[in-house]
Parts: sequence; structure tokens; C-alpha cells
Amino acid sequence: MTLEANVLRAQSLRSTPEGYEVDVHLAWYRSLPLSCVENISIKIAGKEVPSEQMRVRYLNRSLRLEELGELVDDWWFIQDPLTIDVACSDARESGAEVELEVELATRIPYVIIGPDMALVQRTRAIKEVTIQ
Amino acid sequence: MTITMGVTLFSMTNEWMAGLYTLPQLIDEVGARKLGPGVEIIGFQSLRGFPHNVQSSEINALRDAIERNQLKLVALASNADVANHKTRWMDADASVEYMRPQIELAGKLGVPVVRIQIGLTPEVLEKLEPIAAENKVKLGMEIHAPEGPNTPKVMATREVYERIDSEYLGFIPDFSATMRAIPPGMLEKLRAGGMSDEGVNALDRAWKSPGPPFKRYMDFVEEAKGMGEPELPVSQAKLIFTMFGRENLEDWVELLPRTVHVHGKYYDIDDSGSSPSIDYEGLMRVFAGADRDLTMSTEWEGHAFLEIEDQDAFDIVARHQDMCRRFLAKAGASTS
Repeated sequence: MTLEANVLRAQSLRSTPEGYEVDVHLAWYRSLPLSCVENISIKIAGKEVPSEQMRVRYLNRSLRLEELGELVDDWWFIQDPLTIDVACSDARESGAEVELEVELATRIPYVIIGPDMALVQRTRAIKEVTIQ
Repeated sequence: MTITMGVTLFSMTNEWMAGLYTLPQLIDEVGARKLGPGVEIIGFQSLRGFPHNVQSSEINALRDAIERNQLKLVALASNADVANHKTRWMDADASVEYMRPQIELAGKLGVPVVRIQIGLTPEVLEKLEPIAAENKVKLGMEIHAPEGPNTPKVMATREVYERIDSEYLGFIPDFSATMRAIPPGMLEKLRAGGMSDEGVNALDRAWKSPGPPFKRYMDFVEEAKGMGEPELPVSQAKLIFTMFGRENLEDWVELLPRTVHVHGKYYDIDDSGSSPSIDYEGLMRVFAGADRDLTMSTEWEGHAFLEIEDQDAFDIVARHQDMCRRFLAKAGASTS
């Protein structure tokens, strides 16, 4: 519902010399540390982006998804997008309209649903966007 | 007694997430729409860099906005985040150190109450009490669905509070715990997602039946499967069992002596000026019986199922406050 509606915006997909950059917004009502990002998967025009071709851009750093788990003191502020660089040799050009799909799994660190188990919020957002 | 009305900025979550306002702009809008004088902020939502790295310019801008609108910060919502690392969860001492800067920032801002959540253990609460006292901040444990005033987890905290007996440890009743119906807007969303009237009836029956919330939800899932209900709205219905509690509203009386603030949880209002999902007339009668003045934040949470185009948050908060004033006057309490 509305948290899903927040994830993607009209200008979330942009063309870059290396492929694309994708802006993803949180599907929760407050900021979370990057260590709570359990997974991000992206499909562009129906094609799944392999995770090794994705890098999270954060304060001049370029991070692999598996590096996020240790970053308990680095925050994804609720109003900010997290930008993902996607390396892609056959990226479509700006102006093209494509379907962008993002699946975001975030651990909610204070919602404890069982012994040693915190809630993992899984949100899938799909949007027809024009590549910027 | 007097209840000071106000609003938590959590009510404007849709507007905030969409980036329509900066914090001072949001507070200006609260002031312009006369939704104060109380304002409650959410540390990890309202403030960039919370709690360690909030820029002093941002703190000054917040103070200025509160002052120029003649508002007052009445509460700051904190979070415990024990599972911020996937496998290395915080122990009691780490929890205390995680809460400390949140309480200290509240003290620095002059906020009298910090909202804490169920889940902080007796050991942590005991260690936080002197930090709260030092910063002159009262810790209010929010009693939220699916818990209620005397469910087992809350009873354990009540016992700790009795033992420590400090004015810095209290409760924040949240009316999600004592609801009378599933908000009609939530059911409309599920219908729009393909749930049939029979499915909605089964859901309502499961919600009203006794037993632990998760079990009641699983019973509904089984029944819905047999009825051929579509998967998506059935999975979305899960939050009904955690967000909307069915405890007895009269039981709040037992918490009044240690109530430090109130969350006026709210989803909807009908043409007669009552809320279909929450019995505000009954609630205001209970809280008008407190032996001292209280603050209450309107906490509109319809954004859990309504989009920003569906509802202007400022408008529905104003209607909530009108309703509360009317019922409080009827119960013999005054409001400011």
C-alpha cells in the first residue's frame, strides 16, 4: 500500500555512461541504518540485474550489497533516496519508457516477532518510468 | 483537569516521505492550521543524523519554528533497534548506550517526555532511569496494539515500575490497543484489492475472536484459502491483527497514575463526528478522570492504507482534535 508507493518515483531511473543509476526510497516510516538493508533486487525492462553488477552509492563510497550488513552507524534518511549504480553494457537510452521493478527487503530492528527474529519488511514496487 | 492538545508529526508521514516539507516548514504548517500547541517529533523520522549527528543548524531551525508558531515540543519518539545488526543483537548495556544519546538530545531540546517501546527489559529500564532523571526527561512506554493495559508484557513492566517507583518512568497509552472495529478505510482497500464481502466478513470474525493475534490471522488465512480469496489482500490483512487491538478501554484507568503522555491514535471520523473504529467518547471519559493535567498527541495513522491523494493529513488531524474537545467537554475536562 502506501509504503510501496513511496519506493519509486517518476525520475528514479537515469542513464549513465556505465549503464543506469536507480533511486530507491525506503518502504518504512523512519530512517534505518544501512545494516538493516537485507536485499535489493532490480529488474529493468523485465531483465533482472545480477547483484554483482549493482553498487550502492553512499557518501562517496561505492558498496556491494553484502557490505551493507556491518554498517550499523550509517543511516539511510527517510527523505533521501539510496542511489544504486547498475553496470550494464546494453542499457537503453534516456527518453525510453521501461518498466522498473525494485524489491526491497529491510529488517525492522525494533519489531521483534520471535526469539532471535526481527520483522523483515519485503516490498515490491513496479513503475513505468521514462529513463532520464 | 486539562488536556493539552497537539499532534505527532507521524500523522504527516505521507507528506514527509514525499519530501513536500522540511522540518521547519512542516511545523509552520502545523502552526498555521492550529493543530498545537503540543508537537511530538519522531527522532529517526524527523531529524537527519539522529541521535549523534544532528546539525546544530537543524536544531536551531527546529527551535525557531516551534517558537515562532507558539508551539511546544511535548514528546520525542525513540526506538530501541536491538536488531540493528542481523546476528549480533544488543545486550542490555548496548541497549542503554543506544538509548542514552536519544534521551540526552530530548533533554537538550527541553522535551519533557521520550516515547520508549515495549521490549525494553526490566534491566535496561532500571539502568535508563538515572539517565532520564539527569536529563529531566520522563520515559513513557507506549502501550500499543497488540498489547494492552494488562497484557503479560505490560504487567511485567508495571511490576518494575512499582518497584523502582520513579516519576521518570511512565506510560503512554496508545488507543490502537483498545479499538472497537477495523477501520472501514482499511476494509475498503482490501475490497479494492479483490477481497469479497464474504472474505471481509470472515476477516472481521477472526479479528473479533479470542486468542493470540497471529493465531487468529492464520485461522483467517486458512479460511480465506478455502474460500478462494486472492492472496494479496489476504497477506495485507495481517497488519489488522497487529495494529488494531481489542483490549477493554476501561482498563486504561489502571495506568492513569503513571501516564506521562497520550497517543490519540486515530484513523477515521463519520458524519456524526465520531470515529467508527475507536470509541473516543468512552476514552475521553476515562482520561478526563485523571488526577492531573495531561498532554495528548493526535496520531493519525490512516496513511498505513491511504495514499497522499486520498487524505490530507492536516485536515483529518484538525477533525480529530475537534472531536476530542467535544467529548472532553462533555466529560467535564477542559482543553488547551
